[in-house]
Order: sequence, then C-alpha cells, then structure tokens
Amino acid sequence: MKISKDEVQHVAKLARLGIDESETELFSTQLSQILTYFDELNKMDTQGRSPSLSTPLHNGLREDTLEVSLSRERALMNAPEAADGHFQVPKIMD
Amino acid sequence: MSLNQLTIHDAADGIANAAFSSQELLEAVHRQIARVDDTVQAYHTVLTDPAKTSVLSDKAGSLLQGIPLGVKDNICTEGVVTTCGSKMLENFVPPYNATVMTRLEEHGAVLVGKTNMDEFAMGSSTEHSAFQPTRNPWDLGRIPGGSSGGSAAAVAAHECIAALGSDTGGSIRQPAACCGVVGMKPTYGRVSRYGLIAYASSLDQIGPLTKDVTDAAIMLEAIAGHDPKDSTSATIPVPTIVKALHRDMSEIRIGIPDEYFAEGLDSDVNDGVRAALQVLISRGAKPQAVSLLTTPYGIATYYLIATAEASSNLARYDGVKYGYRSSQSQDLLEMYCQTRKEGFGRETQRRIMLGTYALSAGYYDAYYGKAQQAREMIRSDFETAFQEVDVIVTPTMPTPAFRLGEKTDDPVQMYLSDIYTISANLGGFPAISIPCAMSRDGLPIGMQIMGRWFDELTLLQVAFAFEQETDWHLKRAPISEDSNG
Repeated sequence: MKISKDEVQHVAKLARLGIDESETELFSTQLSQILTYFDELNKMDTQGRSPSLSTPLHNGLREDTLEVSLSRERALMNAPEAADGHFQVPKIMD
Repeated sequence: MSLNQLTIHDAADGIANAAFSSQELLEAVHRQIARVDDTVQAYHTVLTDPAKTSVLSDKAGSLLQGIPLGVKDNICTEGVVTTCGSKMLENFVPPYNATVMTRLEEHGAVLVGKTNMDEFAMGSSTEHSAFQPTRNPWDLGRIPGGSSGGSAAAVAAHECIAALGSDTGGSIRQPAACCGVVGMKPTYGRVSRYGLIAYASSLDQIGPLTKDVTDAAIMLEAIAGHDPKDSTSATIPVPTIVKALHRDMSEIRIGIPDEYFAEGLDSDVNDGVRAALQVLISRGAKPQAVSLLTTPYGIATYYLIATAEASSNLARYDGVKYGYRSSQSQDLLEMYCQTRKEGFGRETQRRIMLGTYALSAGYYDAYYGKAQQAREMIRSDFETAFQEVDVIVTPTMPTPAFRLGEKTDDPVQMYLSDIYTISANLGGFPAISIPCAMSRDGLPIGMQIMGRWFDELTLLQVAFAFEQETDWHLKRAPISEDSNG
C-alpha cells in the first residue's frame, strides 16, 4: 500500500498534527513501508469472524453516587494558561 | 554483597531481623544511583527530598515495608513530575496517584524515582525517550529493551530493589529479557490502569520488574485486585500467590509452539530456551507441541490496533488542559497543530498518523476492522492450545539486546522485535519473562511463559520451579558489581 504526500497531509490534518514538507516526504515513505508490511494481513482469512474480543471480563460500573473529585484549583494547576477558574485558549474567531 | 543488591524478600528479612534499617537500604540504593546512573541513565527523576520518600504505611508486616522501588514515568505519582518520556508532559505534575501507587504506599514501599521510557511507551529500545537513551547494564553499547527500559536497567544495575513497568506489546517482558531480570505482564484487568497514562487501552497493563520470581509474586499480590476507578478492572479474587509458589511440575503440561522457534530466531536464544525447557522437563513437566498458526499475523494486527487506539488516546494533548503549549500560534486550530508538532517526538507522531489513517473513512474496514477480526482469531488460537496445556513456553525476544542506533531508522525492523510478546496483549493472557541463559557475547536471554486468563499463579509456579534449579537470576551485570560500601 502506497500512501501519497497528499494523503499524508490529509491524515495530518485529521490528527491535528502540524507537519512540514520534509516530514511529509518522510512519513509518505515510512508509512508506505509499514502499510506494505501490514498488507500481510490480507492473507489471513477472517471471513465471518467476530470483530470483538471474547473475554471473561464485564464492564464494571460503580454506583452513580457523588464522590469527592479534584478541586477546580487542582484541575487547573497544570494548565498552560488559566484565568478566572477556567482554561484559557487563543482566540477562536476574529 | 551491598544492600542495594538484595531482593525484596531478602531485604524484608534483613529489616525484620534488624540486620539493617530501611534507611540504610535506601541509602545504599541512592549511593548506587549516584555511582552508575550518569552512565546507565535509567532514571528521569530521582527523589532526594526526604519528605517525599518518607515511609507511609498502615500495613505493618508487609514485605514491601521500606523497600525502595523505581516506577516507570507513565504511572501518575501525586506531586512528582510524570513525563511519559515526552516533551509534551515534561512539566506535568499529577494531582493524584495511580491506584498502583496508592497500594504500594499502603504497603510502605518507598518511591526512589521515575524511570526513563520510550515516549508514551511507544518503542522497543527506550531510544524514543525525549530526554535520553538508557543503556543496557550488561553492555553499555546496547539497548535495555523498551519501552520500560529504564525500569529494567534500574533493576539490573541494582539502582532499586524492584520496579514497576507497563506492557502494551511486550514493554515489560522484552526489556526484562534484555537486562536479565524477571518481568511480568498480568492478565488484562488484573491490575488497575487508573493513573496509567494511556497508550492503547485494550492492551495496556501494569506489572513488576524484579530480581527473582518470588519478588514478582510479592509485587503482583500488592498491586492486583479490583478497582472501582477502572471499569475494565476484574472483580475476580486474587489468590494467595507468594505462599503458593511451590508446585509439583509433574502436574504441568507445557505447550511448545513451533511457530516461535522459526526463521529469524537467534541460535543462542534458541539453544538457551530449549535447554531451559529441558530443566522443566527434568523436573517432571510434560512437553507437548502446540500449533499457533496465526503467529505470523501478530505484528500487523498489534500495530494496527495499538496505533488506532493511540491516535484516539493522544488526542487529549492539545495544549489546553495540561502539558506543553506552543507559543507559535495565532488561533486555536494553529495552536493545536503546532503544540502537537513541537511536543511529540517522531515515533509518537508516526503512530498517531498510522492510527488516524487506519481509522479514517474508506480504510476503517480494510485495516482496523480486519485487525479486530485477526485479534479474535489469535486469541481463539491460544485458547484452543490452553485446552491441552497449562502454560506455553517460548523465547521472549528473537535476539539478545541489539546495539544502540541499530534499528532507529527502520520502524518495521524495530516492530519485529516484539514478535513473541504481542500475542499475550492481543489475547489478554498473563505472561512472564525470566532469565534463562546467556549468549556467547555475555548478554542475557529471556524465556517467556504464558498462561490462561487470570492464572498468573501457574506461570509463577513454573518460573519458580525453573529458578530453583538454576542460577541465571543470580548473575549480575558488570556495572552493578563495583564497590558500593
């Protein structure tokens, strides 16, 4: 499977990942190599097989009761920018 | 022998008999770190502030009381910087403890420091750390394995008594094999993932890296068990393990899959693991050939599922809530893109790209959907084998530790070093790597033992039986040996 530079740029946009020209080139080459290797999987006959893993586990939900959670102050302590008890981000529109 | 070289159980005996104090034990560990860590580079952060390393315990009598531990830097430690090996989280100080840390603190264990790792646990050599490579204590020109390479090297260089790592595709077992220590990935759901920084949530599991099998059992007993804060944590009770390690091997049927002793396997590794199998057979274990025909598809299946989950999990690093934020942006969208460009390293970006591609419109069924079906077939293959045998024994890694820089430019070659370890993650099974031989170049070789869901006990019993007959676990890396008063 070959992945073109246009496709690389499209995927980077979906992933919100800034990439420059040389990275586009590098990822196009490397992702193509990796996906070519992954094409091995096409030799596997998965016709009619379940896509979900069978396990002895069950989704463990706790009671929906109020518990102490992080204070606003602690939740914000790692924020790059915060103001008035909120996360602060650059402008969204002019 | 200096105190830092002790196992957990020997150190616990020494403290209980007042042969030395936990303070003296901690000082010996700190002296060793001061002596070798500039070279080994196993730690990213070493705690020297006595307030943070004070012994907190209400479980008097725990074997972990006063035991100095290293902890992989993707496990959240309240008030102690947790970087996940990434520039993105270089200054991240968790406001809470992972459940495993809470449990270890209740047992009185002492946090020595946070160990180096591949960024976001993505790697097999610890060379993808944003900060430093870690060196293999047996040969400083070689990798310690990864992604828990810092934890494995810290144990092998006796810079801690034991350590915690995490294992998504072999990231505990493969570095354990490279560094000649014991490393265990428990069953998926056995140990709470609350506070483990997520890479691939359906595969990730926390587990111990230790100097012997008894220590792995001690650590597992302390950290295992249900946690309401992790919805995938199992409610299945944890049995007594440490006191149940002796088992008659004549009750054990060992599965040996041809597919794991095939092309690409180093001859020293082949010979070492086969000789180790003979030790178990001589103790009465019954060998049996098993067939795992899906083995060749493991790597592709694993890397599709892991990268897809990673692309989703790592979407949270957007420069808003915590972590790095780029200053080079005019608006919000540009801030996201620049932050992720500058904050993530190359391998992490590559995996985000792969995963995003595999999940994108038009490719989802061909890649992610196909991999999900393959995963279920691989699990089913193992389950069939486990109807006939109690454990499956294989090499942990196809070769001994490779050289620093040898595979960094070739992602596919790097991915192939996980070929024997990924199936246990895909299937959810428990697996352990124990030292079982040395290569001609004097590098450790690991043997992997895999078991049924939630049957960690049987694989620890088999590992323990092997250890009783051999002294591979007593061999010491050269750098760990020099005088340490």
